[in-house]
Amino acid sequence: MDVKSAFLNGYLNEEVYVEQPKGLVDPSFPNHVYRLKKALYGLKQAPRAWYERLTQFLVNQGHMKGGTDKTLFVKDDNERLMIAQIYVDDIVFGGMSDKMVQHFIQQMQPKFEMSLVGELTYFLGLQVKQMENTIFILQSKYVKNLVKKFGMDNGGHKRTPAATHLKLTKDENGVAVDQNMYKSMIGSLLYLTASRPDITEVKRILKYINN
Amino acid sequence: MNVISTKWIYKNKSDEHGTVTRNKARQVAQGYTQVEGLDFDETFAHVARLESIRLLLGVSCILKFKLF
Repeated sequence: MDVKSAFLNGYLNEEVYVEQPKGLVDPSFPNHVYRLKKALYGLKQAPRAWYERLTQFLVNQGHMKGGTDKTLFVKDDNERLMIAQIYVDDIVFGGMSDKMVQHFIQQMQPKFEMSLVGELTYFLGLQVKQMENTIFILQSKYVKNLVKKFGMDNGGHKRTPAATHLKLTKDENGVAVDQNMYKSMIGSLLYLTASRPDITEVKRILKYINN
Repeated sequence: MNVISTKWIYKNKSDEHGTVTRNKARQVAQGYTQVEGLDFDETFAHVARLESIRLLLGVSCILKFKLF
């Protein structure tokens, strides 16, 4: 599930003042400013304030914060585990008993405004398919977007886009490529290794480009 | 005392046909004017790694529970 306007939930530890929002200035006190109790988007401490608020809430609910991964929370109720992984405003959770899961949702809902409470199907560009005792991850939507983004959607298919034993050397007369676009492409491809570790070859190409 | 200025951000959300379906407005603080030590102290927040998430998917499968 997804917490709506997550950063607005964080409490501030510091004294922060903001001017009155344009269009909503109090005519009797036009020179007054607001002292913030909670964070606003754009404030330096907003992400941390939110992380702290959520962490505190989960710990109060009996969850243990992970020692290595500080965004993983585990609750152990007589050997029955309930796990919650947070990614800023996105929370993935599940548990060995329905009761624990229902309890978790019921505790969260009155505290935070949330959307998309349902079975996990999409997370960080990763499509997730959960079956009885199988789980699939795929990134086909992400790939389709990529192909479109880099203008390759009307190009044909190639079984092997490059010769496999070709030794790559510098093209002395070649025109320089747009480095930013190239790096963006490689970065986008690297993200695909999350579901397709077999394309880790991309990293080798990246090395070549950096040299 | 430092007073942080704010700004309205307006955005039109459109559907897949390009028709505007929502007009969104939000107020944001112009955090770049904040001074360390005066307006903020700690700003670091942890974020999960994609590898951890993949691991979680695996664990949920082994323990046979659904993720939400």
